[in-house]
Parts: sequence; C-alpha cells; structure tokens
Amino acid sequence: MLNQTLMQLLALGFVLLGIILLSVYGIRYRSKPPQIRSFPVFRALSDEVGRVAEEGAAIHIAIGNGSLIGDEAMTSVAALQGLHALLDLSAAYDTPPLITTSDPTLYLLASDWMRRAYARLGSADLYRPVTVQFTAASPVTYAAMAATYLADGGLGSNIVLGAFTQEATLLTAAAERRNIHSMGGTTSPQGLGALYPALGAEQLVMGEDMFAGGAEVLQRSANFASLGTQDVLRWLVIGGIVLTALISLLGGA
Amino acid sequence: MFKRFLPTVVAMLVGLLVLLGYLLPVDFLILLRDFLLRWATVLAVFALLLAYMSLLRVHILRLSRARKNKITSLLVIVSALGTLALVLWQGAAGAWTQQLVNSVLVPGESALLALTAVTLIVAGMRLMRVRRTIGGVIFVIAAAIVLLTTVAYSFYPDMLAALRQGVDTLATGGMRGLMLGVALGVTLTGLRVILGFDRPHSDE
Repeated sequence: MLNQTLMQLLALGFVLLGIILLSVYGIRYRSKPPQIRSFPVFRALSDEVGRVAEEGAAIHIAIGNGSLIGDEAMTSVAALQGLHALLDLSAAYDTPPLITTSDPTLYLLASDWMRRAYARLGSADLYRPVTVQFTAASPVTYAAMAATYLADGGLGSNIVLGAFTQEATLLTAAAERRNIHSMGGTTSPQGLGALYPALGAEQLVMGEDMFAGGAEVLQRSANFASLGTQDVLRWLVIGGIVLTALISLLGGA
Repeated sequence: MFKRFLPTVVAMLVGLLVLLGYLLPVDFLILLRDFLLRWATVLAVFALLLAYMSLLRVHILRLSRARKNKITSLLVIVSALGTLALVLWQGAAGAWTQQLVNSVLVPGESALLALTAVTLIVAGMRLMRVRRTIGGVIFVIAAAIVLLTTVAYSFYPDMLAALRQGVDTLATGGMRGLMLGVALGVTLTGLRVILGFDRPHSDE
C-alpha cells in the first residue's frame, strides 16, 4: 500500500514537473521557435494532395484503432495533428481523402476534423460525411475491409498513421498490389514490425516521432514546448533507471 | 464563444479530475474518476451507434452508386442488420449470437490474422529485393533469428537457448526504449489537452 502511494506521488511529481516545463518552454518558444530535427514524412504528407490530385485520384488515410477512451487516445490525437495540413489542403482543393477507422469515437473526431477543415474555409456545406468511414469494429477486419477500398481503384496514395498492430500489413500489401504509394507510422512495436518492410525507414514515422508531427505541421509554441519537455523528462527517466540499477546492484552486493 | 469554450472547459476539468483520481490516493477522487469513466463508456456507446448508422449509409450508397464490389456492400448490410436483429432478440450472450461469434467471427478473424503472417513474409522478401539497405538486412536477419528461436526452439532447446536469451535481451531492451519514448509523448500530449493548449474537440 505504502509502495503504491509512493509510486502515485512520484507520478504526480513527474506530471507537475511536466506542467511546469511545458509552461516555461511554451513562453520561451513563443517569441523564438527552436530548431527541431526534420521529420520528412510529415512534410511529405501534404505534398501527396497535389500529386494525387494531378492523377485524378484520392488519398486513403487509415487512422487506426486508437479509441479516445483507451490507452491509444493520444496516439490518435497526435496522428490527426500530423495530418492537419493535409486535411486543410484537401478541403481547400475540395479533393477530400477517404479516411477509415475501426473505432467509433475516433470516427466522430476525424469527421469533426474534416468538417472543420471545410468550415475554416467558409465552405462547411461542401463537406461530405462519407469522407470518413467506420469500416469495422475489430482491427483486423477493419484493415481487410479498408484493403478492399484500395483494391477497388480510384486511390493514388495510402497513408497509414495512428494506432496499429500487425494488421497494418494488410493495408500496405493491398496498396503494393495496385502500385499505390504508401507512407505512415505507428507507435507499437508490432505495428512497426509490420510497416517497416513495406515502407522502409524513409517513409515511416517510428514510435515517439509520431508526437512530433504536431510541431512539424502546426509550428505552434505548445507543440515545440512539448518536444523540449519530452527531452528533459527523457533524461530524468534515464537517470532514474541508472540510479535504480546502481542501487539494486549495490544492495545485491 | 459558447461553442468554443464550453467543450474546452469540460475537457480540461474532466481530464484533470480523472488524472488526479489516478495520482492521489483520495477516496472521493477515485469515486469521481470511476463515475466519469462510466460516463465516457456511455458516450462511446452513442459513438458506436452513430458509427453503425454511418456504416450502413456508406454501403447503401455504394450499393446504389458503385460499379464494382456491390456484393461486398450487400453482404456488409445484410450481416450488420442480421447481427443487430439477433442481438436485440437474444442479447449478446444468447445461444445464436454466441454461435455466430464462434462459427463466423472467430474463424474469420483467425484466417485474417494468418493472412497477416503471409503478407509479412512476402513484404520481408520484397524488402530484400527492392531495398537492400543496412536497416533492411538487419531487419530480415532479426526476423529470421526470431522465427528460428520461436519455431525451432521446441525441437532443439539446448542448441538455441543462448541465442534465444540474447535475442530476448536485445528485443526487450529495444522495446522498452521505444515504449518509454511513446509513454513520454502520450503523457505530454495528454497534458497539452488537459491544460487547454491543444483542443482536438473544437477549433484550434
């Protein structure tokens, strides 16, 4: 019980430190944005709109299975932030992508994001609800169903970005068969193992890089602050791991 | 203004209370956290209903407009309505519902999962043919060792024990590193939402 309380208080301290650092970095980066590592995949996402429009095709965006009331909620939010520029550009050219998901809550959020992309341009009436589709409730059935859309034709790009496990391979395999260009990323090791052979390191967003998409695309101080805080907290975690290892080593001796 | 600020205030308040419910050992906060999470589940059920209606609408439209794969859409509509009727009639634990799950859904999903194994092998072979980079070579070697130590281990346990331990140690270390980074990203994205820096539910 004491151990659990100690862990809870440690976690609370970690969160409070995160809040303080976020605020400090947020103020600091408001006037002068930092230089961050480039994430070419996020930059390339919006270029797909023009490329695909020239082909007279559409983009398929698979945003995965991350429920907004589950562990993967923030992965889904980060994926949508990374897609922000693409959605805006698609609305501007009125070439909406086909967005698919297997989670009902994420379906509602993605619909809202797409509708708002049109509303920001003052043309909310152009938004078509079928742009965002809930294809199935189970991840593997969802991937199989979305793969049939890729096989149907009319799609020129396949973006797989969000919470996925091994079912992502069904989407990339279907795209490969139709010579459709794929890119994307995920956070789980199983999903990365499935995406890496199909996309390679250049077209793949791996692990925590998913959370840098917002900073790369939106260029907002809050997102930059998040990256700065992440760096500091990472070193704290590393220090904690080394310290714990040393204590247990000395204790054991 | 009302449309913009009310969702933000609700999201911040609920997020903060649920977070404190996990981090502070106070009974009231724990009760409040559980209550709010039950509400979230109710909202998720409404989301499922809307998603279900959307699924039907999409496939009815495809049935009337699409030139290809009309049979797929017809199957989706019939199975979606049929399953709904069955669940309304017997409940989720009913004999026919369970029969449907065990004889259609489970085998179907298992077949699709088996298919993912095949597509992964094909993707690995294609990787060696198309992109012969150092990363690609390491990936294929690692995948081959993992396959060897999991499939052949039961036949040659003595021979493969050391290799398996080495692979496990490397894989566990790599996965922990990856997951620590992801956990930090998740925490900070969540904090941005709770603090109102990010508003995924309303206009930025």
